[in-house]
Amino acid sequence: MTRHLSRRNFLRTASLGATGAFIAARAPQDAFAQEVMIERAKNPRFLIVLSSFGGANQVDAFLSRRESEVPNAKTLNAYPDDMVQTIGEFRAIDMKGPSIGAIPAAFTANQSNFVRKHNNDMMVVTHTGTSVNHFVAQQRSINGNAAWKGRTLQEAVALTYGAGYAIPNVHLVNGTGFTERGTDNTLPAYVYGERAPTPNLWPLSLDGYRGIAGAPDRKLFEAARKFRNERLDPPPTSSARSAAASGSSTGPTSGAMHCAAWRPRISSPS
Amino acid sequence: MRKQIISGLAAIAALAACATAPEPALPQFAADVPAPVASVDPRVKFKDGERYLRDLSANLGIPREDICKELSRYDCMTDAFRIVLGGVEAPNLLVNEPIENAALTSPIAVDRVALHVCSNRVRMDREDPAEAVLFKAGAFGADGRARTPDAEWLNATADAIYGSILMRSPSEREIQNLAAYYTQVADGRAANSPDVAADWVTLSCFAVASSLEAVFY
Repeated sequence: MTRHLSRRNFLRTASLGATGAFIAARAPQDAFAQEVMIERAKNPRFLIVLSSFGGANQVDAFLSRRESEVPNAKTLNAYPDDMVQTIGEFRAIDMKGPSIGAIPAAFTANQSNFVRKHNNDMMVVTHTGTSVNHFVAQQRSINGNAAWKGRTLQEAVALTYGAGYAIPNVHLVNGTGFTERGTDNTLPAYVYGERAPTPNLWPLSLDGYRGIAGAPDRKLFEAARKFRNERLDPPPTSSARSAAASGSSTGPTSGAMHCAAWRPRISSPS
Repeated sequence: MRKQIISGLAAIAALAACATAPEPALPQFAADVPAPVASVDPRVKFKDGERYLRDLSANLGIPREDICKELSRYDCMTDAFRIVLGGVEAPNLLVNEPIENAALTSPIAVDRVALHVCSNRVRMDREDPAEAVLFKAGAFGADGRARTPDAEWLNATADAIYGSILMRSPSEREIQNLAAYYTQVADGRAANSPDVAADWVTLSCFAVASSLEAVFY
C-alpha cells in the first residue's frame, strides 16, 4: 500500500480515464499496437467477474452428468437423471436441502434460471491443477502459473478489449485468488481488476461529489480539486525530485512545514 | 513509483522531526522558512480510512459515528469504502490484508469522505455559531448585515483550517493561497454573501483535508 499509493497518482489515473489513460500509459510503446488496440476497443468487452467456489459442486454443475451416463454412478459424482436439465450447450441442477453436507444450513440453488438467462453468453473452461492450498490454486486458474507473461485471464481480456475505458475489469470478488493481480506490472492501469467489495455502495465511489448533502456547487468542487492539485499539492519540481532521489537535502520547498504548535488565533464570534 | 512518492512527500516526512522539537513561541503568521532537512529514507504511509476518519473526527470535533454517512445511513469507512481505503474485513469479505495497490476508486473515495466531513462541519458551524470550529461568524452577521470578509477574517479562518486539520500553523504562502482562493469561489456571486463564505470554508477545508499531508502520515 505504502509503495504504490499516492493521491496524485491514483487521482491522475482516475481523472485521465478513458483514452487519455490509455495513451498516456502506452505512449512509449509501439504506435501500431496502440492503433490496433484502440480500433479493437470500438467493440469493447466489459468484464464483471463473479466467483463461485467451495464444496458445492460448482465445478461440475454446468457440465453435470446423469447417473445413467456414468458407469460407476454410485461412487462418482453424478446426479439422478431427472435432476439434470439440459439448457443449450449446458446443464443445470436445481437443488434445495436442509443442510450442506454436514453443515446444518438450509440452502436453495436455482441454477437453471441463471443458465437459461445467460447461456448464449457463457463459456465453460475446464481446468485441472494442483496446489498446496485453495488460494494458490485459484490464482493459478486465472494466471496459468505465469503462462501469459504474468497476466491473469481477466487482464489479458481487458488489455485486448478494454482499451480506452476506465474500468473494463470489475471484480465482484473478495478474498480469493480469483481476484489477485498478475505479476506483469507494465500494463496500463485500466487493465487491472477493480474490486467492488460492496457492490451496493460501490457506485458511490465512482463520483467524488454526487449525493453529498450540503456540498457546494459541483463546479466549485471541481475547481477546489484543481486548486488543491495545483496550489496545495503542486507537483514536485525537478530539482526536488533529483534531491529526493539522491537522498540529499531538499532545502526550501514549496509549502514548507513548520514545527510550531498550532493555537487557534481566530476570535469567537461577536 | 517509490521515488515519486518520496519526492512528492519529502516535506511531509519532515514533520517527524516536529515530534521531539521544543515548542517555540506561538507565531502569528509564520514566515516561509526552509523546511527541515528531509530524511534520506522517508517512510510515508497512507492513512487507512479508519485512521483518516478518526483524525478528522478528533480534529474537527465531530463524533466518529456521525462524521461521514453515505446516503445518511452507511458509515463511509465501515460500510462503504473500507476495502478501497486500505481496510480489511475478514469475517464476511474474506479480505485479510489491505489491498497492495490503490484501487481506481480510492482517490474518489478520499475526496468523498473529505467533502462529507467538511460539509458537515460547516453545516454544524452555521447551526451553532457559538460552538463553531471553522466557519466562525466573524465578519458576518454581527450587526445583522453581511459584508465582504476582510483580510483578517480570511487569514484567521485559513489559520483555523490548517490548525484544525493538520495540527500546525500554515505558512504565509499557504494563508495567502487560501485567502486568494476566496475570489475564485465568489466569482460571479455576491462576495458579501454568507453562503459564499460558507462555500469557501467548506472547499478550503476539503482541499486541505484531502491534501497529501492529511492523507498520508
